[in-house]
Amino acid sequence: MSSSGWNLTGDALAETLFSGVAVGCKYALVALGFVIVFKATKVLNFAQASFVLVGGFLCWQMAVTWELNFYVALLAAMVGGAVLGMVVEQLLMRRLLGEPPFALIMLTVGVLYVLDNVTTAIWGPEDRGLQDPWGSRTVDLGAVNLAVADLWTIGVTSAALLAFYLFFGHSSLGLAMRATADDQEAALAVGIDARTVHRVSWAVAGALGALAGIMLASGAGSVGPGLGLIALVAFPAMILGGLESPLGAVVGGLVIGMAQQLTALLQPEFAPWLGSGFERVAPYAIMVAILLVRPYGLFGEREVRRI
Amino acid sequence: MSVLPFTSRSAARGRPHRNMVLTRADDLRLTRGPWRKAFAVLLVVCYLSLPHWYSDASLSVLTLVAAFAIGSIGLNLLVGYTGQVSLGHAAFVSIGAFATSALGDQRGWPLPAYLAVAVLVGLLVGAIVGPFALRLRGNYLAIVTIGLVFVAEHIYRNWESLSVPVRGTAPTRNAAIELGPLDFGKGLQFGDVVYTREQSLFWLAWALVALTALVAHNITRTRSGRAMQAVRDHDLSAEVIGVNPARTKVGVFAVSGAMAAAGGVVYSFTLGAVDYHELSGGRGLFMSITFLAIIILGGLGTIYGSILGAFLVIYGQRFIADNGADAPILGIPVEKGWLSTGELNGVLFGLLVIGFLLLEPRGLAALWLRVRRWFEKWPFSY
Amino acid sequence: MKSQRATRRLAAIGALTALILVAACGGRSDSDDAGGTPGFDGEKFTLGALTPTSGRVAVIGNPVTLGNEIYFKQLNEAGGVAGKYPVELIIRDTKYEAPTAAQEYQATKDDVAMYVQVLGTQVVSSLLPDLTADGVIASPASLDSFWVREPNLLPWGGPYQIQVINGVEWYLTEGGGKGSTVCSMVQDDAYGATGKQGLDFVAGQLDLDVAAEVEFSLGTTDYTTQINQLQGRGCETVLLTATPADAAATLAKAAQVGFEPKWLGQSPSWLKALFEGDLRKYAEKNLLILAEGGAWDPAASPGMKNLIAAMKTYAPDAKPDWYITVGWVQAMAAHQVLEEAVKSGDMTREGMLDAMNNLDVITADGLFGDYAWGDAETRNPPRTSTVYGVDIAGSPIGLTPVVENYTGTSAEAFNFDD
Repeated sequence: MSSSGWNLTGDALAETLFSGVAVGCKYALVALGFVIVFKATKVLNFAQASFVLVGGFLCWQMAVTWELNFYVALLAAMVGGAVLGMVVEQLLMRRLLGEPPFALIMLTVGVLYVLDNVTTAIWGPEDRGLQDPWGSRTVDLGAVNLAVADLWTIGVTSAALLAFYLFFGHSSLGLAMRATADDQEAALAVGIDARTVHRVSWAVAGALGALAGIMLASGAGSVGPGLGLIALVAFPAMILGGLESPLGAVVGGLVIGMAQQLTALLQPEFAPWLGSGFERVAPYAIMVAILLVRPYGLFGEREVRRI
Repeated sequence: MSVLPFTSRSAARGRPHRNMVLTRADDLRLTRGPWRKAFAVLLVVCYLSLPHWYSDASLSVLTLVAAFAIGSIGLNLLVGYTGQVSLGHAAFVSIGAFATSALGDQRGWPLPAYLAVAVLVGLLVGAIVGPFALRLRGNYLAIVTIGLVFVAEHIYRNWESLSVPVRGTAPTRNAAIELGPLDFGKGLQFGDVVYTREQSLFWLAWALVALTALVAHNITRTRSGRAMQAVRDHDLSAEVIGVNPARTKVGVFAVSGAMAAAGGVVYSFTLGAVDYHELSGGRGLFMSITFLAIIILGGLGTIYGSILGAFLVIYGQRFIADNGADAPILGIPVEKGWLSTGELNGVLFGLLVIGFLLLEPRGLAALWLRVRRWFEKWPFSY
Repeated sequence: MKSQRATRRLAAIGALTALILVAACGGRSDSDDAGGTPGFDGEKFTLGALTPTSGRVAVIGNPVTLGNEIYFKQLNEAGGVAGKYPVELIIRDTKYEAPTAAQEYQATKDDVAMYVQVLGTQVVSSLLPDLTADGVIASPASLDSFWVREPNLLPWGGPYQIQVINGVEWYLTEGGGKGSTVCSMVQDDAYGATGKQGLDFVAGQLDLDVAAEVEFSLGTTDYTTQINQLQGRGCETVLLTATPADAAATLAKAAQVGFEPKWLGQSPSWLKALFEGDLRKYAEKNLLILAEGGAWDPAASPGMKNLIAAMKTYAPDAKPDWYITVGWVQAMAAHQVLEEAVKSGDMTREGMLDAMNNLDVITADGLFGDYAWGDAETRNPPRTSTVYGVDIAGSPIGLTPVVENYTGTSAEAFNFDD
């Protein structure tokens, strides 16, 4: 592609930056689900991708097939996601607590395979529109068009982050979760029920996953078996922020989303030697670069190791 | 032998127990005791005779099992023996597959040459990736190794003369598969006796499995093997007792990468052409996960467990695909049942992984040990 | 130290276990009789279909397979091939993965006379070396132009390149897009390459510049930057080579930012369910689909009349879908080869290939154009294409022809030997 005749306007750049924020928020919602489970139980939950997928389909089922109000369907799908998260914790994860990370990862991978295949068996392989009220509506700021669905995504993510802050900082259950994360035995000694903490964290992860799936499928998106693939990009987002940090997940999501959109816009023009499709590998390149400097991510906690 | 005090005591009643390890020479023996020798003979008999009874279709599945077994042995050295998690194993497998295509098929190199190149490149890339394990641990290392399959995908997407030289794929069907006078690719021929390609490839592939297993076995029982296990169990302590964790980790990444590349060469024999989308990117990640599942189901930290696991996963998936359509819950579009065979395979794969992790985390290898112990202690085995 | 007895015992054990294994596994069963007439036992034909019935591409695989099935059900009802040999299908799930397909091919090849369907460019490409080595015929469910000169393949319809060349030429000459700025937005894989190849060819023929070539990857989360690039270069006609979810996301983003070029979508971009909601108005105004065939209407052609009747009888609940036509046409092509083979009386692999090459034309009963047939060098695909407009209410598949069976001068000039 030659650079002649290409007219990069300020408006286009603004739209790209805005889309970077919106995409980043979607990654952040998925990454937040990873973080809360990891913070409480030290499990890196690959099945988060299934929560995203199941959430999208549940919402579609209720909003389109059963014709419920979209916002009711959204909340119900989040409840469904929460229940699913709790069931997974209750049936499986509880039994392997304290095993090496590798075994825990593979257990959640097993859950991922089961849930993904059962989901496509129930709902079939077709992509379908969510028929959300936001659709392709936009808000025009001068010459810049902002999609309503994207604005909602940004709002929902900010609300989730704020809720996390209030929850961990000011509620007793949140404090209990932090205590359990820091030292499970000490927490038990002061009367904190680790089981409740784990159950709640998985429920929140399930609800967040469902919410992420719905935001992803709303607007220009659609519900289909590929919905869970977003987790592949949410991984670097989560890990470069640091596995334990909700703020890190959101910052990581924004960094990755912004980098991806800017790469897609500018790289074919200004750095074509990096090859086509560079925006797909860019998140991983950024992640490796950051982790080599800070091995526990931007906001992660350095693990204390004893001999 | 007689210098050891207790051997003279047992010598009075004959010989020491056959499984007892007394000298370095005992330790170096490949087989210990008559039962193991018998088992070895049995394996050799199976190896030589199986291709005479099995259909070509089944043999090509077994060759695929061999490819996964070779790669899994490499991964088991890394994960099972050294405790380093890698989700990027498929990227190393792709090295072998594309070496076969580019050198064996497109340029007509002989088998030893492209196999050697594959192994060397695998070794080299492993040694380049290894140092990341020095800085990153556990979950962080797992996620960073996912990056490998995406980097590989990016390279293949842009290096089209390697990845898609012919009609959008990289053919391997016409790669020369010869060792001296033995032509496995066209089918072995001894005088008037002619064997098919599938029969010949079965022999070649499983000979390579045996060779890989032997190399891995020898690594694990030498100084470097003990260093690997020390790093796995506690790398700081290992360092304190004089093990160099850096050298160990980089070394094992290199060896594991080389074995995966060798597995990739065998893998490409079972296909007419290689598709990079299956070995890198998102699907590559799922292939890496398949390798991890194989060593979990087979048994972490055992060589033969890797082979058993490959058999269970790969042969099992084929079994479902071949026979699943007869099951009542399965179906095809018009009279669609609930699950397609592909979905059933996915669900079963997940359940197998979950089931083994919860019930027998040490895998098939441990199940076998249980059976053996039961017989050893019989009639007091309860 | 080792006694002779122990050695002898070992040998005995070895021999015994070998015996047990022989007894347990039985003899070699199937491959010895492969030299005969695989897939034909004197009473019926067995054909294979390697297609995704799970995963994302099952959305294409399932309707194509349905088309295969209802064709043969209707044929069997009438007695079968030559009125006496019914046809059975073995359907195997490839998950759209080349390695899985290779395994499924190995597992089924000795049981089938030919493959009525092998779905996916990548899958066909990977299987081709084996198909050629084994002398097996297969009909690709993929419209790549690679297949035209392959002796073992039985393609149907005009390749993607022809659809793009005709569609672009028609739109730029008669379709109202004269003098507009042409761009492309294609998926970065083999399917995307077909669109690009067609566009490059027609651009050369019509002497026009392609102002922007934007690439994207399957499943991209947000298409703002791609739209920005197209918008920034003033694109007025955009060739869109995508799959449905990505096509819908692209159009939705374009609608949001008020970008309204004419989108010329290749046939796999279309899925009615994704365009009948919020996007309907935008799609009806700005989207054309480049494909082949006619309207979904019994009056359109004799083939369509049969197809709709067969659907009513054998799959009354199935949704009408352009891909059912594809499966139907494939089965029809396979049927013509089988008839010829029965006529010659030779149902071996060689006999089937000879029978196929003996045909002068493979007809699609008006559903698609007829394929001039013969040896691989003499084959010539139909060069007619149809441009569909979006009409959600007016058609069961959501598409009605804007121009039917169009052949431009560029498509006539396209050469499949390069």
